[in-house]
Amino acid sequence: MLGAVLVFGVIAILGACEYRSERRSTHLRHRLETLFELHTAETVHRDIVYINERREVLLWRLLDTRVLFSVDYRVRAGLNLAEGVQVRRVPWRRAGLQVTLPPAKVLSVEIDESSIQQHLLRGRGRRLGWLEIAAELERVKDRVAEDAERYGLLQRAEANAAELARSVLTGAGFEQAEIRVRSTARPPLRSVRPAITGRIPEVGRL
Amino acid sequence: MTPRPARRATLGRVITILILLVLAAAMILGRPYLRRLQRATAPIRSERVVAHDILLQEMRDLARLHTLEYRYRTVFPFDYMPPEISLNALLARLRHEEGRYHELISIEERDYLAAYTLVDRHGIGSRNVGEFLVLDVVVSAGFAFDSSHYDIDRCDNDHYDHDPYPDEPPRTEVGAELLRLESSGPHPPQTAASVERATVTLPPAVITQVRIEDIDPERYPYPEIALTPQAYREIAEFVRERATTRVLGRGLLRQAELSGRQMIEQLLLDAGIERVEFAPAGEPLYTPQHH
Repeated sequence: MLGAVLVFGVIAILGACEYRSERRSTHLRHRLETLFELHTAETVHRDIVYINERREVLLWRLLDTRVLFSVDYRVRAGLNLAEGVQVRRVPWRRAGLQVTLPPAKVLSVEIDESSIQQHLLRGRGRRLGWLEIAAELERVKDRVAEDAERYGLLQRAEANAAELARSVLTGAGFEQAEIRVRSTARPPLRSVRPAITGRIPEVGRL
Repeated sequence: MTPRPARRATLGRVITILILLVLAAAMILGRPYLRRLQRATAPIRSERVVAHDILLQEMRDLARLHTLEYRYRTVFPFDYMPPEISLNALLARLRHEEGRYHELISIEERDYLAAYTLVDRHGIGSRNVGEFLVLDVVVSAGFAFDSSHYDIDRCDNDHYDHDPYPDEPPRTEVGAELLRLESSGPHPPQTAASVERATVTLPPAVITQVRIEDIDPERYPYPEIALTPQAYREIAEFVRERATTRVLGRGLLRQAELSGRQMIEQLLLDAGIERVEFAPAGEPLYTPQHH
């Protein structure tokens, strides 16, 4: 009887203890990669970020953290030449070539950490973690890239790439070189002025 | 005539239904107020407000061919504070020995002190938690052809509606020197296919970009670290400043030049040119700012 009670007690204690083992892994990156990317234009977008986190228990404020800072996003666009550059002769034109470039695309959207300016930091309780802040910055990146495209970043990147190619070919004697870019669907362009005075707010309450 | 008890029962049912209807209407119409009341009287309240205001600042021209990307992972501060360096011994040496700062301590020890200063200033691991930040550093190498710059503030909006780039066409400094073509026929050659030999003069390979890859919390498997934006900026700059020297010793530029040559050669051969040669690299056209 006593033995049964002991066994039952041990099982109950073991059951009450929770043992969690979580293995999270990521690929160790230490690599060298060849590219063939021509970066020809970039936009810089400034974001003013405000985060306020509050927590109260029975009207007692345990946490009230506020942070206000500004940061730049850099959107780089250009051509991935690995997608193929076609060169065709134009027989009816002397020294004529037709070069078709791949369409420009957004190659990267990055935070320029050297542009971070912290304006306000007030806090009671725990400090905000960088992952929480990074998650907020990550969330708006797609919209920043979309905005850059609407202001003509891709068209500008293509124009610059075409000019570069023309410059090289003209120097090599192909005065009649015709540079084309493979067409692709694009969102309509916006004018510039509203972008400077306008705003793209996002206020979320969680 | 309906008996009195039966009438009472009917009246009771009608009143019950009316009360239920009034309650349902009150619940539907007063839902926002109820929520507010519930939020105000909740014993535990939690709220987060996040605001963004994004403005397009400027648009710039670039002309950089990236041919190689070297990516590595670093752990701040442990990669810069190896256990074999003793802070006390280091400080004692600086206090008691005579000589210039740069002569007294090595580069690794200087990095140690700089990392220690950052850790101390921002209270990283101040509660003996052993906090750390894992960062991916991406160093790109290739060829920089241009330094032209375009500021969107100088652009006239009226012109912009018709032509997005009216004031300054993209400027390039790549000219006749980059590609020279020779053929047995007329010069300039009639077509690319009639070119016997192409001589390419590339500028020397340079580091085109050094950046810290943004942390994506969904793919970051390590613990959270309490950092202010200012602290993150300083740590990222510290890591980036040490990235170039770290990779230059690995022959990155030579490899980038080779990759660029192979790709350009393939491109010209695909275009029908019979033979491609590379002249010795000229002077750098532009030294890019590292970002």
